[in-house]
Amino acid sequence: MLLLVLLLPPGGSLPSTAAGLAAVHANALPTDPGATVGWPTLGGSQNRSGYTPSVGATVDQLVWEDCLGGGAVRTGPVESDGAVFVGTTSGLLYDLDLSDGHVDWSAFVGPRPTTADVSGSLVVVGSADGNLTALSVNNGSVVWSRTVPGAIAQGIAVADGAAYVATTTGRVLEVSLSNGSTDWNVSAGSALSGSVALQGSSLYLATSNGTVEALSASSGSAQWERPLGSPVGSAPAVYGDLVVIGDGSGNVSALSASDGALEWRWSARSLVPGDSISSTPSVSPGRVVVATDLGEVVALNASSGDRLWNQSTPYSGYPVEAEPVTTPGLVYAIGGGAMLAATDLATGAVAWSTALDGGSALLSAPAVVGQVLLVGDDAGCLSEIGSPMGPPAWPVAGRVLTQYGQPVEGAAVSADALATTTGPSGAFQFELVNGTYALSVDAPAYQSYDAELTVSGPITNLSIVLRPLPLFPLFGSVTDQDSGRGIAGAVVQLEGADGYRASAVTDAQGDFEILGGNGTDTFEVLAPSGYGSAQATVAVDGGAVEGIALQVEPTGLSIVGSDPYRLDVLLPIGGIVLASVGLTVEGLRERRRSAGLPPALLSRFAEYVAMRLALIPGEIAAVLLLLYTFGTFLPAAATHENLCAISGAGCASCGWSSPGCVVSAFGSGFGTFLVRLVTGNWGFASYGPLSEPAAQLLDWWLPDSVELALVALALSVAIAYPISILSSARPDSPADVGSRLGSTVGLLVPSFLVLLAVYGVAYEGFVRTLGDSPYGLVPTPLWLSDHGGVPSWIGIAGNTSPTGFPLVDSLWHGDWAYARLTLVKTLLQAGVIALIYVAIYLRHLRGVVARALTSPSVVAARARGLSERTILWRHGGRSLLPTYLLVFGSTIPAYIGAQALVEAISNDTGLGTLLLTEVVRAPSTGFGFVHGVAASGNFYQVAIFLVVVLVLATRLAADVVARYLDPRLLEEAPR
Amino acid sequence: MGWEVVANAPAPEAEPEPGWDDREPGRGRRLDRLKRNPSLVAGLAILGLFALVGLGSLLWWGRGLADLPTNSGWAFSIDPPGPSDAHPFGVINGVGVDVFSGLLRATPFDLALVGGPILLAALVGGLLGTYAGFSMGSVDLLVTGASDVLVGIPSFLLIFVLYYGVVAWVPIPDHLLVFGLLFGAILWPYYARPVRALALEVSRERYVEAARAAGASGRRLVARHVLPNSLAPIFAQAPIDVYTVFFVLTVFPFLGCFSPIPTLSVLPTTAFPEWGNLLALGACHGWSVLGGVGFWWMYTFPLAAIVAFGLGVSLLCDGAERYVSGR
Repeated sequence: MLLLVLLLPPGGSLPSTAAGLAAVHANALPTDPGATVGWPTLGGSQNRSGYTPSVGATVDQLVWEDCLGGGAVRTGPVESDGAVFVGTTSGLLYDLDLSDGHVDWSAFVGPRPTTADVSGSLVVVGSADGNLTALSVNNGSVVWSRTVPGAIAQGIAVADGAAYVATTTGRVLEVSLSNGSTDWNVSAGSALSGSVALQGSSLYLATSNGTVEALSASSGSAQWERPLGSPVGSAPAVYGDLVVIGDGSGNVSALSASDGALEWRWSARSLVPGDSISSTPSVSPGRVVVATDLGEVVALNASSGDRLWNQSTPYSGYPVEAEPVTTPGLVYAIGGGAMLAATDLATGAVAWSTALDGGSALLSAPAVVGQVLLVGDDAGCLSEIGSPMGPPAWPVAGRVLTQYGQPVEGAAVSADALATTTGPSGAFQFELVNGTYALSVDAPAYQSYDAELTVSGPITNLSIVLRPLPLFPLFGSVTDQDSGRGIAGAVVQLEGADGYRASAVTDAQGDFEILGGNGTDTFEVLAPSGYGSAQATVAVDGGAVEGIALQVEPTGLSIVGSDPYRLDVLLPIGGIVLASVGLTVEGLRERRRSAGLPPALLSRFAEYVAMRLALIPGEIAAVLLLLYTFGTFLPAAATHENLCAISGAGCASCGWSSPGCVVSAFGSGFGTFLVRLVTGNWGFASYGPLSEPAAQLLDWWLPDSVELALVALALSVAIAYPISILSSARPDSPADVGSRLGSTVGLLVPSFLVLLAVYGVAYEGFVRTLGDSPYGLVPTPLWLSDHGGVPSWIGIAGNTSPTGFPLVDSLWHGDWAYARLTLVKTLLQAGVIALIYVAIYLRHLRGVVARALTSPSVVAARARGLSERTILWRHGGRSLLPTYLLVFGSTIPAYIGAQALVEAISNDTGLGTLLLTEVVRAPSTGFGFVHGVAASGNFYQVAIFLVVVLVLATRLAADVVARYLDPRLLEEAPR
Repeated sequence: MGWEVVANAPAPEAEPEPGWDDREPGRGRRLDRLKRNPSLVAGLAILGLFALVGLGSLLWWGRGLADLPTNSGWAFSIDPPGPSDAHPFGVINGVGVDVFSGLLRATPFDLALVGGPILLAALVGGLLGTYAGFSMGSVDLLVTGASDVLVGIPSFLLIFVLYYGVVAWVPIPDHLLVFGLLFGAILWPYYARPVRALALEVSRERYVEAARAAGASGRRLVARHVLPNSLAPIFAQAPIDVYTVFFVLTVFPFLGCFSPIPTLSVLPTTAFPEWGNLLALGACHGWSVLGGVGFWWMYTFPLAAIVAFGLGVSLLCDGAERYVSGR
């Protein structure tokens, strides 16, 4: 590690400790967008990011409280140069002194004023009756005042002598700051409930019905727009290239500021069902913090949208409209129940929290200035919390540059416990009190930098130059573990010790070349289609390395191994076997004929079974053709004119005009589809954050579904059997009418409502007695930590070992608590499935059972004098078994639907959840098995195919067993 | 003389003669059969009411039928209005729609989206099944083969496979129509198979033989003798298919609410007026596992509409079956 020497002007000093490149760049302070000291507008800066480099209030000490007595404080205070401006619902704007809270002046600006904006010597504020007023900061005299059509939404953005206003009627105006005249006035297309955010030369806003728009700040012309699909009630926040917004369906969406493309989306409903977001999320370098209406405060990774931590606060019954405030160390958020909490940004641990007066929780957003926090409440009081009497905090700012003077974006800069990330210009800023700090700068692909920084005044032009890591070429290959063949097109990723990352793709022989730095480098091969992933570590010590071998293991149900060429061998062998069977059968029949016997070789039953089995390949082929044509070929062909690209057909002209090419493309694509299906090359399946090769996820989750199905079917039979016998024994009796009506209504009440009702009733008792919620992956991390952590026999996806059946495995390992929990959850779910399925089953059984009870054997039994009860339950039941089997066979698709739904809504592991997830994801992830598309295509056709196989197999089994039990069925019209 | 007296006696009142057709004797006049059939009357009444409401909505809103207004004030309200004078059935927050207005607007859409595929499937399935059961040749083989393949894939999955394939080629305004047609194309085997089984039996009945011997052509045999007597399974299957269609319309919009699965809807907008969609939205925003019943009006009224409609179809089919079979 090299230390750099920096020469600084008075106010700060850095000891020179070692030789190295020293650079002092006396540039003007390049601030990152939005990083200002003070809090002059809504959200702290014009881009509404809610981020300030200030230290903030580290203790919850009340400095002063001033009750203004003029209605509630509903909009946030703003501060500039020691003057705090806040409005109350009575229509007065107050100027208070930051140090002691005494009021300098107050002025009437209109009912329910918005958050003010301070710019130079003017403070601009709007009101609910459309008044826009500019007052002098010194004495509150009105400089100019005008009206705009509609109420002004939330706040005002100001830059370069112009104020930008959004009205609730959907108009956006630019107004001159000097005299209030309109520069331009455009329509946003529909009503607005949030302010505009301003960054650079663009305005960003969101309409109430959920369209995010970017307008040019100079003319108001539209730059881009993106519909979100859910209503929005607040302003967006902009930071760097990210526009972040929350909506009424609980989603946080991050869009690219340049073109509005969706970068990521996170749903608050994954934490709490039914949650929504009415406030602006706070965006800071690397983090997005959002406060949801049901009281969750959540921190997300700004580049990926992954949840880092969340804090639950009580739900007070009112939505949370206040934007959280982010500083480099702490996050200040208003949660439910009038709770103001200061939370550590990195870990989510609560530093302090306090409940504010005022009763309701409709609190305005807090403002952070230096080391204090300002917040208003419903009683009309403004409070200052923190430690203002502490030592002054100086701005410490600088840039991180490469040795060629280029800015380094995304470098992690830390001064003791405070951390921040550099922006696109390489700039960073802290507010530090006098003292000595350990300054550390880290960036991928660069050597890290450490120095001691002594602060005794403002520092504005720190320049830190990073030296790049030396890189060396590393050569290796990715091969199949079994056959040793190289695998082309595999993605190899390298991670160096310093966080340096690089990647490469293997060539046709499976070889790759990649650059890596000194130290221990970790290689990882992303699982190529049909294989697992592999890892290796290599120590690099100042020179190139050759011969790095990465071997990957074939996965999936490979019937013919990973090499599809062996189908060439299987097919002729299969053909020869079939031909010899046919010849043998014909030979046997010929012998019987010549002996004068009838040529039939098999009994009627065996003939029936043989016929059904012989039909199966045809049925499966037809189903596959259907799945391929509608599921892959047609959607792919609709968006790609070039048929060769989607199928690898290789015709002269690859368009629709050449019928030969269409046929060839279809056939070639179908062939690829079949080969991949048979070789287990099923792409990736995902559920929430989990993403695995599909065959793997299926292997983990199928036993869960089987276990649930066995319990649910047993329960269904136990319920349906007696009801059906009773109701059909006495047609039109109350039992019959009741069961008929009940099954109709039961069919029509959607199963998820039944499920939710059951969960709602069971919730309290379940939590109290078992300590877990009745839905969700079994068990929840909270339950696991209460029971000593995750046992070694439970995997990351909730899969258990050794058998894979959770109940069996828990008993195997003697974990009675887990077994009890799983059993109760399974019984609950099986109960709901049984309720739904019994309704369907009874509906189909009606009439069939009544007819069977008039059969001759039953009539004869009655004539012999057997009691009705014996006939119904012993005699009739036995002869009814074939009928029940037949009805079960025909209702199995409905059963699968019921179980899939219950699994999916319960967030449980199982084939049903996987099935529904993949069907629903299909349009957004593309349709799999298309030639040339990476085989991370989705799994949905395979999932449906597996269900079809299940249905056909079950139907076959039910039909065959029914005919074995009752050979008369063989005489009837087939099926 | 005695015979003169007899000749002047009034003729005894004749019993209505049984018709030359093959239905069972003693059926009585149509009105009498109706009076003895309360489920048919009830079913007709319920569905007739729905049809009237649907027609009324269509006439009242015309082209703007699908534009259910959303109000963001209601959307963000944590205390949305329940049933009241201004909102007879309350309001759904989250999307901000009035339930009563939504249900009224949805009536023509649901009658078309649910009734349409069922009628289409019953028509096609009934005709094909009858013909296949009667003629039993290559037509039978084709119909049976196609039915077996289509029945092998659960309909709530098959509809999406077909939908994704066809919809890529069709402009957006026609997507709902495509959905309805495809569902009809999926459901016909569930009618064709039992109708075919019944037609097979009926074709072997004596009266069909007799009619054939009397010189009736194939088409006449099917139309007058086989078809009317093979239709009973249609009335048994139709109420079940109401469930099948509503399963798709209700469950998939709801999926995204409680789990990481994204929402999937065949409807053009989130707040499209359709009973199943409104039910999904209402359950999503109105139900809270932690909060008990929650905003009960959001999901109860759409549910009531669906159940009433299904009951109407069920009663009508039960009654129609009795009417046709002369019980």
